[in-house]
Amino acid sequence: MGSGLTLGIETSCDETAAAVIKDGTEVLSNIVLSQIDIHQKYGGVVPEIASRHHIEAMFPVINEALAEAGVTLDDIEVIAVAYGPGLVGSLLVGVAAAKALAFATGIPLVGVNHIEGHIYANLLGGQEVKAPLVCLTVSGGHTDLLLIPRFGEYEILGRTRDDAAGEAFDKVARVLGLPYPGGPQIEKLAQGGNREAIFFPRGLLEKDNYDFSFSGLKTAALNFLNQAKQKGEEVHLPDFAASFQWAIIDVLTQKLMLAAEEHRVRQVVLSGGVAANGTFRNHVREEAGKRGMELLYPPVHLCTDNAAMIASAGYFSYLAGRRSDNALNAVANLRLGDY
Amino acid sequence: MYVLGIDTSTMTGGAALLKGEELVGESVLNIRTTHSERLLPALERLLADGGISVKDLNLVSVVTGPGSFTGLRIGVATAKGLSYALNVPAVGVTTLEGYGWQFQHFPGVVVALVDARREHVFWQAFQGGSPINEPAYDSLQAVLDWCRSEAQSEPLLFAGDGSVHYAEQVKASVPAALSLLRPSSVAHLGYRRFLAGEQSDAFALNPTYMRQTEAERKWKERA
Ligand SMILES: [Zn+2]
Repeated sequence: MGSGLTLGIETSCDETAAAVIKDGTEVLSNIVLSQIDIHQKYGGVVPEIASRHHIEAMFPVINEALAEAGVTLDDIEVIAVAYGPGLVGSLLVGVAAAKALAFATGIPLVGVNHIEGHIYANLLGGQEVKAPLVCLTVSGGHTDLLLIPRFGEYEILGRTRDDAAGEAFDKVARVLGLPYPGGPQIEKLAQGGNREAIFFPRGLLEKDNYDFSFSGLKTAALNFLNQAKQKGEEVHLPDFAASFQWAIIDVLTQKLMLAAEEHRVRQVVLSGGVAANGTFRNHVREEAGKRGMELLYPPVHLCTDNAAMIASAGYFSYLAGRRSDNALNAVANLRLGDY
Repeated sequence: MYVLGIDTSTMTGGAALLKGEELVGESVLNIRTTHSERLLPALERLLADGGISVKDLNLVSVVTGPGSFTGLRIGVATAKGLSYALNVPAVGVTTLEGYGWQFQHFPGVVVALVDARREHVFWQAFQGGSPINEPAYDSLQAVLDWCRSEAQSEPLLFAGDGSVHYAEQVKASVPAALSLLRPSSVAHLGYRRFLAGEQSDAFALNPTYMRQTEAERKWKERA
């Protein structure tokens, strides 16, 4: 029997992170060093600067994670590292560090998809999570509907064929002159608005299809604003925002429920930035409740990038038999389902 | 005493293993595959062929730069990881110092040139393996002017990927294949430094970029 301890390493964007978790669920330490302040003056993450900070911070952060957990490298059973998607220069620092540690100690190494990591953040909040479950990952870059038959494995049921849901929020928000990210701004604007005021198209709602499409909706929303402008009509913004947001939430929830029923799961999981949308969460909770299902989402502090979630995903992947060799490389545009 | 040398500063590079001063083995590749994919597999083969366990390593010497930023970080992160996990010291060596050491027996001035693109180089001059100026980033023309004024009475040897890239302008360079920095030179120089009492570790060892990032330079220009 191994110790059940996993060392997780995460450097996919501008956070240098390491964590030690036990049995895939119990967080012993979770160190996250954010570079937000460093990049602020440049108006966004500068990849080369991020990489330079990662290499300096990586080992102090790993050392702190082990120390805070009260363990040494010798106690670790698995090393898990995020190898994509993300900034390739940043990812490479974590990947090279993890591989060297694994090579020197003989501890098995597992490369983890960062997006999969976000799903496993649900296992770290002390709530009871049981597979099988259906998970919807919605962010500015992703709209993926997954089935997790047992931890460590997943099956992609559907994904967006064009824009991600968060992308649609961002684009419409930009046209309205709202700051980035657009989701929270639209949600705020939609408060007090009538979601039935304007009907926007829902893409791909036919049965037995779990793929998404948001480009038609986005175009319709932008056209609506344009036409009003040309006619000199004033748009009631709360109604517009509420109707637009509702069109997205409606499609996401319908597909999620359809998948959850088909696969007879007891729990559905939301992850990704759009999962923070309160209107969306409430609607999913209500719909899940009607079907005797429970809605799960990660605790707030584990919604942002961290290494504990990478360790969790990596641990279950390891139990399922996956291993990475010492030629593991960073993959900037790694998709779910690619190994 | 087993010493590992690592160079990932350019497309070429690899690893070498010494037993004391004696070379056990060396792996140098000049291919497009990333160092991320080939460094540890090369090290694994070297150790296996040499009949040595990774746990027998006593010292890690690594090129810290100048060179490809991403390449350097792969080598340095690997050296840090080995140093941390094996609890052995690490020593950093610059690319330029590596060349100075590699051509220390040349009876004149060795000018190490690392290509920085657009007719610019990172460079440093050496005699008998010792530096005779500070490492710098300059135009190739500035280096050639320096050679004319400061080293005109000495035989000159240009080394490094800069000497290959700008072969027409610098003329007195060694053939391209010989001009590559050898990981064994990195291992040897690191070992000498270690014997002289110099050492670093997974926390203190970091790349030597010799240049700020473009974003930092632009930001300072505006400020
Ligand atoms: Zn993330």
